[in-house]
Amino acid sequence: MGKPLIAVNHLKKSYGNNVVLRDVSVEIERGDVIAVIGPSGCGKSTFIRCLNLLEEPDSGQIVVDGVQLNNHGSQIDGVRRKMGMVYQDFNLFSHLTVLENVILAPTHVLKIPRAQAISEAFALLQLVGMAPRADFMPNQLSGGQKQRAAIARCLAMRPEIILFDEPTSALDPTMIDEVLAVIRKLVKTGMTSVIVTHEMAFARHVSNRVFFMEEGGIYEQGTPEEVFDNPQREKTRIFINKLKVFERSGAIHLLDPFELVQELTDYCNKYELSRRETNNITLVLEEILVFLTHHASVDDRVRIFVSYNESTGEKKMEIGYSFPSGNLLEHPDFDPLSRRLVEGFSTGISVGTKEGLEHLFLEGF
Amino acid sequence: MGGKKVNVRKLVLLALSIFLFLLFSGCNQSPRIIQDVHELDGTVIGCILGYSSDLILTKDYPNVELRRFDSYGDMMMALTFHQLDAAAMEMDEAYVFCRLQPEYMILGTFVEQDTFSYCLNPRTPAFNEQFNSFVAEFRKTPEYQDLLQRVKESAFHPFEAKAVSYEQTPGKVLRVSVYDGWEPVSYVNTSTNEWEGADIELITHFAKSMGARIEFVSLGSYTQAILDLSLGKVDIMVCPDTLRFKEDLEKAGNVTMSDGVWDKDIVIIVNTKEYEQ
Amino acid sequence: MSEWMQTIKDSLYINLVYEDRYMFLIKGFLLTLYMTGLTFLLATILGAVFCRIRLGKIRTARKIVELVSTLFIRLPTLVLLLIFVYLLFSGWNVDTVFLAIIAFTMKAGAYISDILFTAYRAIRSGEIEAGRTLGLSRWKVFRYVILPQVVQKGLPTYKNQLIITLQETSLVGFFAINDLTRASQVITSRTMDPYISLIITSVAYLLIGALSSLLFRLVDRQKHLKAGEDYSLEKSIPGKKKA
Repeated sequence: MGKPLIAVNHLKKSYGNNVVLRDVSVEIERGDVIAVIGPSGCGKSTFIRCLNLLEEPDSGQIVVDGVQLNNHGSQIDGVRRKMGMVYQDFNLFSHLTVLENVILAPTHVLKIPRAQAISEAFALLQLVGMAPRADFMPNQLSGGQKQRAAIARCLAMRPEIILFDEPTSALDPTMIDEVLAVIRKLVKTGMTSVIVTHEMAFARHVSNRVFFMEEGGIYEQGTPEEVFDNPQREKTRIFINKLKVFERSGAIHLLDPFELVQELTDYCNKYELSRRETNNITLVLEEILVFLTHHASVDDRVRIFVSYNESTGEKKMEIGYSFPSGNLLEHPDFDPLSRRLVEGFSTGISVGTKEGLEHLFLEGF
Repeated sequence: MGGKKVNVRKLVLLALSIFLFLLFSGCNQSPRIIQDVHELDGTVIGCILGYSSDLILTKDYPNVELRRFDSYGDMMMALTFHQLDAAAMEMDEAYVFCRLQPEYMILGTFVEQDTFSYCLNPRTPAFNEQFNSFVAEFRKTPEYQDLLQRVKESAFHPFEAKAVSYEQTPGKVLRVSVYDGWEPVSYVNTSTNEWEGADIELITHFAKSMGARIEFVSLGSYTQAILDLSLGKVDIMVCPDTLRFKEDLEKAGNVTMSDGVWDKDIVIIVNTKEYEQ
Repeated sequence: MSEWMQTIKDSLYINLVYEDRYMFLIKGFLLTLYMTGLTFLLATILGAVFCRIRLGKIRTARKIVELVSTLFIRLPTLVLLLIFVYLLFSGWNVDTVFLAIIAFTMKAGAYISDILFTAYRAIRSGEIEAGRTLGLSRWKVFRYVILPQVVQKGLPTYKNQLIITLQETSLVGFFAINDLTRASQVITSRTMDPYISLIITSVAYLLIGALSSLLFRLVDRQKHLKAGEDYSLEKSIPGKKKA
């Protein structure tokens, strides 16, 4: 153990006005197999590409094996040799055969004599199951075969860590397994890896640490059990449980209640909730909105949050309000009939504070 | 294998440098002033493709770099811009040329008295006999000398044409293909709309000896005119050529040449500016 | 039949042998070869330089190169020659052949830079990235990933460009330079018989085309020979199954 293989300090990266990585600091130890998960476009790829300087960070430090990466000079090439990369699009050299792809870098960078490079290449191709197709050109291979060849090519440079950028995202479902099998095999040999992936089951089984990336950084991290079975933070939970979320908030006088109800209906229809469920949810919203628009002042704020777990079918609703204080349903001006309606539609109601607003938490429907 | 690669690279570089050396050695020549008209070796002379000067220079002056142009415009442009050291022309052309464009001047004669004659149809031997005997006679006359004198004077003023009048036998026609724009040899007088020139006059004398009326037919191109002549569409054509051409023309089988009619010098023309002391 | 043979013999004699006229054709052939070869060598270099600038980061340089390129592509070759000979270098005393080669080089260079540029753009940027992450330096990625593909993709068009340049060289006849085409015109002006000399000229141009084809084939063979080495080595690898 001791010194981490890669240490990242305060990494920041934006594209124009879009801040992709806000402030990322993390340490990667030798032998770690890190699964990086998260919704699309949240910086997973950017993060991994910054590690070997395919993207230039705006600020922050990346220290690989004690050597700080800077942007200039041959230092990059030396460091890059230690870090292999496997791409979503495979990126095999289209003018060379599989074998030539694998031996290109070793012969020209490591100056390994050709015959030796070839025999080592064949060993690697055996490992990934591509030895019979060593003479094939990339355009003669299927996606899975290309990716396996790409992994062999990466291994030929004897890296200390391999970065996988969504290695199976471009593959047909039928070919995903063959590539995952190779990655699993590789990981068993002790290769330090950082794998950006959408394959949750695979990520859970192969990794020893999981990074969930959201909001411009590593939102939550932990062991696979911690992150997958017991996510602590809200967005992690939303992601892990594949929750479908509807959220609106703002000052009451800026909201159009009818439009809001329509949007909620669209949301329910989008996820194919039954008519009864859609009815129940939208009616609850209507009742509460009617009350608030009549009784709250224009500056008061309101927050509507609906989450739907597609796998379990669980529906939850959170209504936040700055007026009145306490349970909204128990307010004297709240029509008792409406109250009975709301209480009838949901199986469980509780009150609490969240984000500075009083909240009603409703479950069931 | 690495050794082989290095060799190929070196070879390519070597070839490249040789090429570049050859290339650059060709540039930046200073304008050559011709000292002696008879020492033309190594100079760049222009001429018109297929004309007498072309034939003469090619045959007798192998050490001259000859540039054969398609038209006078191109040639004179090259001369003005120093691509040529001089341009070669027949003397009667040169007289008028330099008179009309004083930026050019005749430097001197390098071929004296080359014999010129007219193209004839080989299939009309009687006619050709007639022409040859006319020529032999005419050259002894004072009219011929007068013609030569007027040609020389065309260097200083426009050619003085003299009309030739004679009795015309009705029914006898001499068809002549002619070429406009070639003072003093063959051209149309813009005010009288008559064909004038040294060639025209000579042929008119010939027609006079036959008593025939002349019918002028405009030359298409030189090659076309030769074809027309060989097909018998015309009897004779203007545009005398050097007798050196006779062998080629006869071998081509279309036309033959008469006996010598004129003796012309071949001169070279240069830019006046460069030679004024 | 024998009369026909005689006509041909006569024709050949008067066109080639008489007065050593075949020398015109040989000198013209050599000059055309010289002009084409030199032009193409220089144009390839120029095209590569232009392409490099167009792919570079300096904006003004890029704009200049693109402007110059467009200019040379759009102007007809004859106009270019006229501009070079009578406009740009009219005051100086420069050899016409030299100027012609410059004009041809500029034109072919512009086209070649286009060919290279298009071929480069056709390469997937992911492959270049992959090369870098494997530890190949910028130069090595260029040498082993970019260059082979550019050559492969651009070669057919490049070969065509060579033929086009070869044909353009015949324009120097306008300036009375004695290239191959002009040589046949000279002979024709003497013999009034265009057939033999034109046939010979055509054959000569086709010959030059065939020569260049051969050269390209040789380059290809070098590549295939290299690959062949691998195959002979592979036979000694144990456990390898033939595809």
